[in-house]
Amino acid sequence: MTSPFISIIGLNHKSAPVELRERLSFGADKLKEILSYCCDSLSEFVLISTCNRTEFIFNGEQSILEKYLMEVGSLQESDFESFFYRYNDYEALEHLFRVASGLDSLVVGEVQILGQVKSAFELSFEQNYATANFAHIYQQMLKCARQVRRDTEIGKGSVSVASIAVQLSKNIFDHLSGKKVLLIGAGEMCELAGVHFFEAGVDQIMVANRSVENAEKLADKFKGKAFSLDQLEDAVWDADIILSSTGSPSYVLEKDLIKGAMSKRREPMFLIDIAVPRDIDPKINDLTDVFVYNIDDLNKIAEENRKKRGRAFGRAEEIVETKLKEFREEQALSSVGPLINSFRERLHGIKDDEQEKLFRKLSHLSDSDKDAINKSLHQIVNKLLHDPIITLRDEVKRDDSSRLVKVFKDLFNL
Amino acid sequence: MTNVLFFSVYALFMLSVTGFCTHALRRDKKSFVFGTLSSLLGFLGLTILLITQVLNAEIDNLLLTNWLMAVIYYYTAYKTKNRLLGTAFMPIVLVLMTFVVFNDGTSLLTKTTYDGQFFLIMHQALLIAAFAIFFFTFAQSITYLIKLRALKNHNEMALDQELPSLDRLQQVFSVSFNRGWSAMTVGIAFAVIYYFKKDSEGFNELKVIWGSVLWLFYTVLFAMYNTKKMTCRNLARAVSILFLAFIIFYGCISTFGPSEASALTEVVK
Repeated sequence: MTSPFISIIGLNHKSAPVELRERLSFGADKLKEILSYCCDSLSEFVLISTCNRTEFIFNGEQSILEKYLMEVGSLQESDFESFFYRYNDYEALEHLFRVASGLDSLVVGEVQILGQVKSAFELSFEQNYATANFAHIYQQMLKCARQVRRDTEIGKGSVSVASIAVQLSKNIFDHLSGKKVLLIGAGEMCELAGVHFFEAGVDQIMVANRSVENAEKLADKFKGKAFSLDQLEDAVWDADIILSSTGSPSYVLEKDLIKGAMSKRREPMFLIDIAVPRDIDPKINDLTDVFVYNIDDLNKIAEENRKKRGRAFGRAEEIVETKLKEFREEQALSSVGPLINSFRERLHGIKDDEQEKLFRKLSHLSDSDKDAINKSLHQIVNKLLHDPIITLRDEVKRDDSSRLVKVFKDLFNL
Repeated sequence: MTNVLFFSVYALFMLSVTGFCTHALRRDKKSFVFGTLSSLLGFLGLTILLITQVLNAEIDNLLLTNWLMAVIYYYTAYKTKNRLLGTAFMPIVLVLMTFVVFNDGTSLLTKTTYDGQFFLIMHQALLIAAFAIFFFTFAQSITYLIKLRALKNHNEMALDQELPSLDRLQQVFSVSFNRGWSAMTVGIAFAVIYYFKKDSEGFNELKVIWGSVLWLFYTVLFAMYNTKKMTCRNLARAVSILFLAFIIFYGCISTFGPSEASALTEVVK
């Protein structure tokens, strides 16, 4: 039995609880340690470790890797059956293609996973932990993931509240650079939204909170300004985007305040209310050039995007399947390539021998006659070669061809 | 030959309108591509038509306006990635081409013979530019209002990929509105100079009156908007109404008004 050309052992958000994933979360620095532990048992090795998955992609002996995992993760043997998945050959390849395309992610279609898989492979290439065999798989995986992203809507539309807030802001403002964001509240949601806006390149993040201390802490993370709720008016007048998430039982932003701020500006203002009960008076949306979105509006968009991604899922799976088929055919063809070459050489060798004998017997033939006979025999051999080669290629593409290859070799004594 | 070319261009623009409208309703990429390709072919035909006119030393102002509008449209749609602009814009091109047909039967509209008078030529060139920009401003105002409405009603999902940001739409709209007014004002100033020099010879009075009224309204809007007494939304609404009024009036005077065949030049188009 031949050893698999690629194997995967791993666990993810679907197969294992977070406590176990935490224990088996590795940094890039672990690569060397794993490989020195496994000695020469692994010829190629890639480690993918994200918050939702840890996967070992390798070529070699699996048992030693499992032993290592048992040691570092304090695992029982039964844990492998309960929380891990193991794939070999084309099954492993299919899993890898699906992971890279975002089909196996917690948020289906997320973009980050492709970058993480790419980095993992590139690191292994740099350190010579992966070579030609994995390089080819890596190229095919990238092609598949890119096609899925290009030809389907799997990655279109945000699905988290914070990223939808940023997306909506881009629908109103052409560039977020030069825009000022005001976060009202200093809780987790405000922090998450702040990170998204900060990464989107806003000019300044201001934080207004009942406790100025907490506001300062959060503002420091974004090198922004902190305000108390008493100074809210000043901050509002300066802001282009306001996101509010406080525990206040009444409205924090009233219509008159925004009306005053709008009287001095021509640019639109975007207000996002993710608090329950609401922080922003919904009547503010009646003002010209002011847009108020609450948590229900954002959830509605998230739901729509999730549905859209769900609809694209089937098409994405088809692409993965097609790419796998192409890979399989390519592998099969490359495996029979040497056989076809030797078959060709054998038949042409027979032809050359017989032709030489014939020319010796018919010494009166002129050079032009010999040339004509040579061309004719060459064509006969090519025509004889044509059908068996095509049939062999077709059969090899279709299914497991080891038996056919053996028969072929026996038939022609190759 | 020119008639065949003219009607081919007309048909291509009609196909383009169909493509763009289907795209707006279904939001499928193929219709958009179809609309764009038809319009590009139509534009190519229109360019050839204008070149043949130039070679014959005569040029149709309305067709030239259309051509200029198309150039502005392609530039802006490409720069702002506004996929709905064609839906609002192409019908205007078609309406103007319809005026060309009804004015002179199957032949092209009244020609302008350039007599080398600087003021008249400047007046015509600037007004052609002004109207091209003004018509384009109308198309832009429609997409701006669509986007504004979608954002206000929290229904932007359907449109967010077809239109650029509200901010960008507002910028393009205000720039084209202001430039259109500037071109029209300077163009009218040249007409006034020419009028005094030539003692009103060759002017179509009905169009002069209508052109002045239009300019007056335009000026009021320009002043109110630029002194921040009018919001962009209200300006977009006003521009839409002004455009419709213009098209209806222009259509009426072109179709039912006195014949201009004897006029040497046409000033306000």
